Amino acid sequence: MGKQTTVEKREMGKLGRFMRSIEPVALVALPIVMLIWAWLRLPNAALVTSACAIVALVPFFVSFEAERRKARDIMPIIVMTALAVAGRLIFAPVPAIKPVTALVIITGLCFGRDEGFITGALTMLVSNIFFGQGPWTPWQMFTMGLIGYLAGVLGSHGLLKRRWSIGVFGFLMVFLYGFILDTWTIVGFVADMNAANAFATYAAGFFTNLAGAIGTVVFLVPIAISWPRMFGRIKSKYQIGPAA
Amino acid sequence: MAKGLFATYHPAVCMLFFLTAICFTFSTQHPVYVVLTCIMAGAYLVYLRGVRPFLRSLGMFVPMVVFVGVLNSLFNATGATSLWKWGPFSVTVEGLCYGLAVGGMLVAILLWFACYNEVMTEDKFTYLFGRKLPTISLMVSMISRWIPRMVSRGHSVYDSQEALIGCYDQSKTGKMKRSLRMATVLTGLGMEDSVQTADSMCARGYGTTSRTSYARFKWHTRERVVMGLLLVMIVVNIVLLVIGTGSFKFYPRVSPIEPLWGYLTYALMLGLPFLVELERLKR
Repeated sequence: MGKQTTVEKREMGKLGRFMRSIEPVALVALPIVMLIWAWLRLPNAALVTSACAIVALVPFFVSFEAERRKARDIMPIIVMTALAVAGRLIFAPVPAIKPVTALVIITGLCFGRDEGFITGALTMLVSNIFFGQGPWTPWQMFTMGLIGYLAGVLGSHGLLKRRWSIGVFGFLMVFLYGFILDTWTIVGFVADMNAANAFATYAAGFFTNLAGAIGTVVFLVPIAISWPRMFGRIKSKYQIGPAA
Repeated sequence: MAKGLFATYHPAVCMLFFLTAICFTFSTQHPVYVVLTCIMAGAYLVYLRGVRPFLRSLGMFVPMVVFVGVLNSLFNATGATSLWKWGPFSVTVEGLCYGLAVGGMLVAILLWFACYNEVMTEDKFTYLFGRKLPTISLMVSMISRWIPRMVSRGHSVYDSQEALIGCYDQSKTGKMKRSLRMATVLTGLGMEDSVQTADSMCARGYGTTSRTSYARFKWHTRERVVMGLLLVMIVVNIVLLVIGTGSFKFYPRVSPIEPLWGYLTYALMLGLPFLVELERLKR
């Protein structure tokens, strides 16, 4: 599909370009800030790290706004996010399937890193509108966005082309999600951090993460090849998004 | 108004109040402060939702709170007064107190968020952030509309598949395959549908100019008064909190709890939703 260059690169302002350029910095800096805060045992860790997570979301949202997208180009994100949130209801009778992470990964893979990030972040924001906002919302948004972003980055380097590699990636990403949120719980809510505390927290989350990872792989592997093809068809039919 | 007078205030006032409540709750583990914020948040949630839903949501918080409480009291060796010791585990009075305080803090935060969910409905959120983040807030409201649409589409896809194929195998793999096919159909359908929505938006001039918004909320005198009151209370409380509880420590021994003026101002600040109800007395 090398010949389609129909959709020109969108004009962004100075601020938008700057924000886009510091996106990777935000992704790396947030976990580091959290660990420094934990290392120095500074007070109010839960509040400060959640506030930092909100700050880390800013470059993504601002640069996305700065693109001033056409209506068609925001629709894939809306559809995929709605499907991910609705998936929690639609697939409730089949508990073995966990669609949320899988859909975010597929979006990042097929539509690019920024779409992946926004889809992941909005999925968590909107699903918390229905299932309850909490101090965890910024961290969930950040982490799910990170997963979509990583899928986009690896996809653009051609690393996620095979069924098994996508499956392994999905499996690892669910554990990454659990790991980051568990770490935030320890840093934020445990006063005397030590190996025993950390072990207990990670161990308590292990089986939930494992079930989530298996559910994600079960959903992700069968669609790993067919959905990108379907999206490619839709993209070229309606000329959605930057040319692939 | 079922949700009380405070919910009818300008979204900025409500937002600032919840931000204040949550930030203050997060930033102190002083036992009296924790108890006060718990009581205020609980009372407000009961006022908003009624007793039974309140108890139900409280039940949902219990596992997480117990987990954090246990984690803080069990694996802790900093306390001075030992209660019980077994290998690496030692339970101290101080650890237990701290665990209780953190657990209570968590309960209060979750209660405040539950109140936030009742008061800060999606339209208010969109109103507040619609001008700063027009695309994102539009997307959030479109997603909310698409979710029920997806669910009902899902049902019709399921029904038509059933009608076409007839009997199904009820095995696990059969169910799984059906769900996957449904997801695929839904996505394709949704994407094609969405293009139509997008074209219709374009036809009506989406993106030709900056967004205007229909403002249901106005900035009256009462908003100014309450906002000013809240800002003053925030400053007073920060000062009293720093002076009053700065010396309070859990480890190695729990400091004695002294009577402070800060308790009163803290309760007054967090009781703002009840204070504004005094307006009714005027009538």
